Amino acid sequence: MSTALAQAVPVDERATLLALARADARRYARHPLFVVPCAILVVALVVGVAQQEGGGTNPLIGTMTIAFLLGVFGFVVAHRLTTSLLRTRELAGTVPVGQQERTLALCLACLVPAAVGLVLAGVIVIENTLWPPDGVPSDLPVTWFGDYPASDVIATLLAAGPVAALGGPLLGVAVARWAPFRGSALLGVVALVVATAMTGSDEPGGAERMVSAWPILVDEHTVDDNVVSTTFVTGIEPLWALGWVLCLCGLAVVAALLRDPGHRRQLLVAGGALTVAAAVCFLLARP
Amino acid sequence: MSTAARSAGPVALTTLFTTGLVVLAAAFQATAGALPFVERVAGLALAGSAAYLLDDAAVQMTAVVPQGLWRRRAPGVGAGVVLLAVAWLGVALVLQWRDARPPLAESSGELLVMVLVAVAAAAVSFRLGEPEPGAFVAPLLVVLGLGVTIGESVVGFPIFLTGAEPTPARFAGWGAAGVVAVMIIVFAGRDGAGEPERVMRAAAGRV
Repeated sequence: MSTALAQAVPVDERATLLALARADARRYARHPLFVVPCAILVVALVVGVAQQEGGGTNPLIGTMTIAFLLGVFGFVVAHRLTTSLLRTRELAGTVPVGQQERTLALCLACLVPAAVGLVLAGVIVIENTLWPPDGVPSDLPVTWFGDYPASDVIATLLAAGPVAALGGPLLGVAVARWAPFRGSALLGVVALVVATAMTGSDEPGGAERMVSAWPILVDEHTVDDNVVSTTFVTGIEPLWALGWVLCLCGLAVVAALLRDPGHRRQLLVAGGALTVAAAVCFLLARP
Repeated sequence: MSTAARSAGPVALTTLFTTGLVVLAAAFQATAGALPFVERVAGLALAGSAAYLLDDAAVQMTAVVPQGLWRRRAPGVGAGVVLLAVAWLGVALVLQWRDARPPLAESSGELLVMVLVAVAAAAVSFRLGEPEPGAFVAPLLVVLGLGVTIGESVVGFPIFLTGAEPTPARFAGWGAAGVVAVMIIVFAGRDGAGEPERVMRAAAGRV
């Protein structure tokens, strides 16, 4: 009887997935660790407009705030949302979809911080168009249109901002799926931050920074602790660096989905292709 | 698994992981410049892990035993404090090896206050009905601490005692934060129980 009913009512998997993703996106958007950072970013935005300063000598400094407040905080949010499914296994188990679909829905929900990051990147462009950045003195370069190719500026803006806001939460989902033990969120955040700091600490910046999942592509030059100029790190092509971080985002999704047995063959093929693409981007980013 | 082992488990894991990261960072010359930052993250991680010490997934069962709340927590908290102290000593020794150790008194004071803040936040969360507050409070303390670290460098207003010349005002601020945290721990950690004794007396009366 039940088999006959199941056959009679075809399940639209795509619609189910989208409904789940919308529900998870709402959960993500309502999480305090997403709402509060967004509020801080809006305040910073208003202050920036009120001061009419734009990015000053470092027009891409805002990407660091986006990466931290949406990416690192996003890691914790996504980890909490993912492990909450495990904590409420009895309730979650009543939904007629598999764990893999639930994981994919959570990955899609991570587009929420990415979208906010993209909007904020747009605001950075508008601010710096209204109040153009300049070196001190003005013949010194800054990492913006005019001093550098547009492709480098846009690639860096996207890689360090919106893509980081996507990658942090995706990593949070993957870590929570594979290591849902108490303490994994804490260890994950620490590992993420320290790994970024260690690879970004060489002075002046070199191609080693590409090892990081959030490569620092801009070097600040200071006189008396004041930033007078900014340059792109020599030895890294920002466009390929963007490809590298995008591939890492894709690998995080594949890793999260591989936790469950379904679609193993397709996932392994996708993972292999992404690994090759990441390796190509990594090598081409260091000419 | 004993209660103490379950409470202190994440602390043990964090201390091992954190000390390992600091050793790794110190071992490579290229990353020596990042050591003060790594030390800050290590301090935050160790402090944050203290929030796990109040976790009690079986609170509905344990709340009715005759022992008071802190009597039940004592073994786990004791083990956790010892682990944190040993790990902090290890981190300080590694940093001293690379001539990157911050002033011991100031950095240890910071760690103590941050541990108290983590435990206070966990105690409040536990009081509000979350049986395992560590899962949320621990990473929250780390990301907030990192936020303050980034904020103080952007605004140019030092908040931590290490990294800039400490002033009496900052000492007072950290001291006040510690006192407030202790008050919150005492208030939120009251034996809302009296409960066990009441339950046991009532049970004895019925017999």
